[in-house]
Amino acid sequence: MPEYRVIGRRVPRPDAPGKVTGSATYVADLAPAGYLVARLVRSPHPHARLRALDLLPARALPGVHAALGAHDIPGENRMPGAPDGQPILAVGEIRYAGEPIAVVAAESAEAAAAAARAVRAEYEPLPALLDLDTAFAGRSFLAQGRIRRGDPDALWSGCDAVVEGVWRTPPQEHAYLEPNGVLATPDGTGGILIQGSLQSAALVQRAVAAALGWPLNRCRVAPCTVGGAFGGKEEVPAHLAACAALLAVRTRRPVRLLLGREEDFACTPKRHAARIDVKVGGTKAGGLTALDMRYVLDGGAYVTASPYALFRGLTHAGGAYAWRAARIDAAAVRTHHVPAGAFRGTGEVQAAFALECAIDLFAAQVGLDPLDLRRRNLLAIGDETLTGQKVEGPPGFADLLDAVERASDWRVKRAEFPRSRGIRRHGIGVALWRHGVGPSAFAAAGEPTTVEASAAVASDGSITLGVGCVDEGQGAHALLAQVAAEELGCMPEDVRVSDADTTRAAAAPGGDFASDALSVAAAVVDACRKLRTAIESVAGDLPLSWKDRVREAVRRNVGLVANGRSAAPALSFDRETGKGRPFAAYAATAAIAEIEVDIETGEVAVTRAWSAHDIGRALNPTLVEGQVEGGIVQGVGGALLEELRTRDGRVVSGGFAHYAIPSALDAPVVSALLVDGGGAAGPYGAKGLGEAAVVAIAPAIVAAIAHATGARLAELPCTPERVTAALAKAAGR
Amino acid sequence: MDAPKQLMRFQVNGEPHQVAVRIEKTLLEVLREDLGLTGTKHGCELGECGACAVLLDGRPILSCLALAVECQDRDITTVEGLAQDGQLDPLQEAFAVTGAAQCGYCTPGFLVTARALLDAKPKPCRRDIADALAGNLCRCTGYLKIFEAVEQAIGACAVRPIRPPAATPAAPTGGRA
Ligand code: FES
Ligand code: FES
Repeated sequence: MPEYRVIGRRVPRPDAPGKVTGSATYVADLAPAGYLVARLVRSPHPHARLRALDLLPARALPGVHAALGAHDIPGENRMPGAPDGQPILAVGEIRYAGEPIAVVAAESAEAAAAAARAVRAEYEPLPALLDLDTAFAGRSFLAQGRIRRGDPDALWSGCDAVVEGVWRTPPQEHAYLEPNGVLATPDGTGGILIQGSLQSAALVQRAVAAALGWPLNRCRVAPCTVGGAFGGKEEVPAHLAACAALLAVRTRRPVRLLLGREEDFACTPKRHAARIDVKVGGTKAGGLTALDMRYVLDGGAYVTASPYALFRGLTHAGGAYAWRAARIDAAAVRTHHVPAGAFRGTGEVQAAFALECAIDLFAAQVGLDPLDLRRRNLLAIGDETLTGQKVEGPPGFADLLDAVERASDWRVKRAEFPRSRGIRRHGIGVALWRHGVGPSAFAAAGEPTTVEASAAVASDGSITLGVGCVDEGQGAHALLAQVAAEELGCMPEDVRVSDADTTRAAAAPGGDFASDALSVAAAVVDACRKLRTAIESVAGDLPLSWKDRVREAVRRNVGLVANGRSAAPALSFDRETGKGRPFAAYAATAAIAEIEVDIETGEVAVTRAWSAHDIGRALNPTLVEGQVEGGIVQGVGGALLEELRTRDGRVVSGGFAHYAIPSALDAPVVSALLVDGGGAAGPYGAKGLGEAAVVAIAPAIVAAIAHATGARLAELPCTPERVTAALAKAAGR
Repeated sequence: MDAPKQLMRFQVNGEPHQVAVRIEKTLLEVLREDLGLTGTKHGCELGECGACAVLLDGRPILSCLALAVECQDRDITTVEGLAQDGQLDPLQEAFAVTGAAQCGYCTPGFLVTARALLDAKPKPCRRDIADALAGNLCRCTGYLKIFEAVEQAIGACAVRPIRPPAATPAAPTGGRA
C-alpha cells in the first residue's frame, strides 16, 4: 500500500480551538443590530380545514413588524422539489399538528410570542389518520417498492426451519444539542443573506429563492457552525429560511427564527416509525434459503424523505446474505404525523433490526451459534444481491466477524453467560450489516449527481477550498483539508475550507456524510492535482518549499485557482422491478453488544460494544472513531431509551426530560475495530463510514437480551416494561 | 412594556461587571445578550441538557435555570474564562486533541463542569468523571472521547493548579442524574 504524508494521520481538527474556547459561531450567537425575532404560528390539529386566518390582531400589537400568511408569499408557496406540493405556510388543509400557517416578526421574543397568540385561526377539525396499520390497510401510500427473486413460497415446505415475526421501531428524535435556527438579513443591494444551522446550503437557497420569486444568485446561504444534525437539518432549515426571508424582505430588517427545544421536538421530522414482518427459512445445517419481508414505514403527512428511506430500506433488505428466493414489499404510508425525515442510517436501521432479529431467532431454532450461522451465508464475490447487482469488491464480512469475535471473547461468553443465575443476567449478541456508501442511484429532484470543488492558492501559499458540503460536526472539513494538503504537499494548517457558502461553494449533495466525504474528497483531489500540475510546470525540478514553489508560480503568472469534479458512477434502481445497481461501493459493519439485565426490574445496561467496520483506509482515525463511538451510543439510545410518544397526533414526550437520550452514565465502552477489506471507491482507498455505526447495534442488543434471559423483544426501545413483559412471556413457555 | 430592572454587580471571568437587568432574566440570557459572552449555549432552556453550565463560585450550575439577580456579588466562570494569560486550560487542550468536541455545542458545558470536578478532585476515576458529567448531554461523541480528554488533562493539571478548589464535585443542579 502506498504511504501518505498526511492521510491516515490523526491531524487535529481546525475547528477545535474555536469550539473549546467558545468562539465558534452558531446561529443563535448572531444578533445583528436591529434584528427582529420571528415565530411560527402552528396548527394545534393534526388534520383540519383552515377556514379563516386573521392576522390583523397580531399586526396591531406594539413591537410587531409583520405577520404573514400564505397569501403574502410573493413566489411559490411550496417546499423545493416537493412532489406533493408541501406548502411553506398551509392553506386549506392542515395535515399535521405543528404545521405552520403564519409567521410573525417582532422586536422581542415576548412581543413575537404575543403576536403569535394573537393570530386568529378558525379550524374545522377533520378525522386524523394516526395509525400505521390502518393507513396500510387503507392503502394510503406515499411511496412503494418491491424486490423479487424466485418464489419463496415454493421453498417454505422444503425448509427444515422457518421463523417469522413482526418487528416494530418507533419514531426517533435526532436530538442534536443545538435546536434548528436561521437568520435572514437583507444585504442592502437587492439580495438576501441566510445564515443558519443547516446541512444543505443548496436546498435552503432553492427554498428561499422560490418563496421570494427571486433568482438564486440574489439568495446567498452561508452556514454557521452546526451544532449537530444527523439528517435532521435538511428540510427544516429550508422551511425556516423561507419564512425568515419573507419577513426580512417585508420589514427590511434582519430576522432571526430559532426553534425552542420543545417546538423542535414537536414539529420537526423524526426517524420513520416502522412495522416489519419477516419470514425466514433454511436448512438445519444453517443455510438460509428464503426471505419474505413486508417493510412499512410511517412517512407522516408529506412525502419529504420517504422515497429515500424506502430506497435505502429496500436496497439493503437482504442484509449481508445470499438468498435463493426473496420477496420484499415496501411501502411508506401517509398519516397525519409530523413528516418523517432522514436520520443517520435512514431506512436501514429499521430493516436491520427486523432482519437481524429474525436471523438470530433462526439460529436459535436450528441450534447454531448465531455468528457461525452468519458466516455460513455471507454474500461472496460474484454472487448477485437481491437487486441483481454482482458483488464486486471484497465486502470484508468474514474479517469483521472474526474481528468482533476475537475482541469480545465471544466463545467463552456465549458458553458461560447462560449459566449465570441471580438477578443480574449477562448476555452477548451479534449483528451484521452491509451498507451502501458514496453516491447512490437515488437522486432527489434537482440534486446534482456531479460534485464540484474549487481550490485557490493565495500568493503566500495559503489555500482556500470551496466545497458544498457542510461540516455538521463530524469533521468533514478537517478531512478535506487533509486531502488537499496531501495532494499539494503543504500542511493541513495551510488549508481553509469555506463554510459551504453558496457564493463560493460548488454544488454538493446535502445530507449523507458518507457521500460527502467520498465524492467531495474526490473532487478536491481533482482540483488539487490540476493545481499541482500547474505549479510543477514552472517549479517542478527546483528543490523548493511549498511556499517558494507558490512564489515561483506567482512570478511566472501561473493561474492558481482550479475546479475539480467527481461524477457519480452509472447507477440505477427500479422500484417497480427491484432491479439495479443502487450503489457502486459497499461498506460493512459487525457489532457485538454485551449487556446486563436486571430480571426483577427489566432494566438493561449495555456494558461493552465492539463495532467493526470495513471502511477501507481510515483517512483520519480519530474522526472515524468519533463517528463509531457516537453512532453506537445513538444506537444504544434507540435500542433502550428513545421513543417519541404522541397522543391524538401531538407529541407528548418533547424535551429531554420526557425523551431520554443516553447520558455519560449510559455509554458503554465502545471498541471501534477498523478493518481494511479493500474494494474502496474513494480516494486513497477510503470507503467512508458515515452512517453504518448506528445500524447494527440495536439487533445485537436484542440478541444479547435473548442470550441472557431467553426473552425476545420485537419492539424498540427495550424499556423495562417491555423487557419485563417479554421475560414473563418467555417464562410462560 | 417597561419591566422593572435591577442593577446588579458580579464578577465574570475575573472581571467586575455592573448591569441593569430585568428581574425575570436568566443568567444565561444576561451572559449571552448583555455581556456578549455567547460561548455558553442554550440547548433547551429547561434545565435538561447541561449546554448552559457555568461555574458559580466554582460550582457548576445551569445558567438557564438561575435568575441573574440571584448572582449578585457572586463569581461566575464561563468557557471564555478558562484560558488564562492566553494559554488554554489543559482541559481545553485535551478536548481539542482527542476529538472530544465534534459539533462542539455541548463542549462549553462539559469543559466548565469538568473544570469544577478537577478543582475539587484532581485525580478522579472514570466513574467519578461519568457521575460529574451525567447532567451534560452530548449527541455526537458517545462520551468516550470526552472521558479520555478529562483523563488526559489530569496529568497536565497536576503541574498547574487552576483556582481554589470548591468543596465537593457536583453535577449541574436540575440536570438528569
Ligand atoms: S440550556 Fe439545557 S440545561 Fe440549560
Ligand atoms: S459534540 Fe455535538 S453534542 Fe457534543
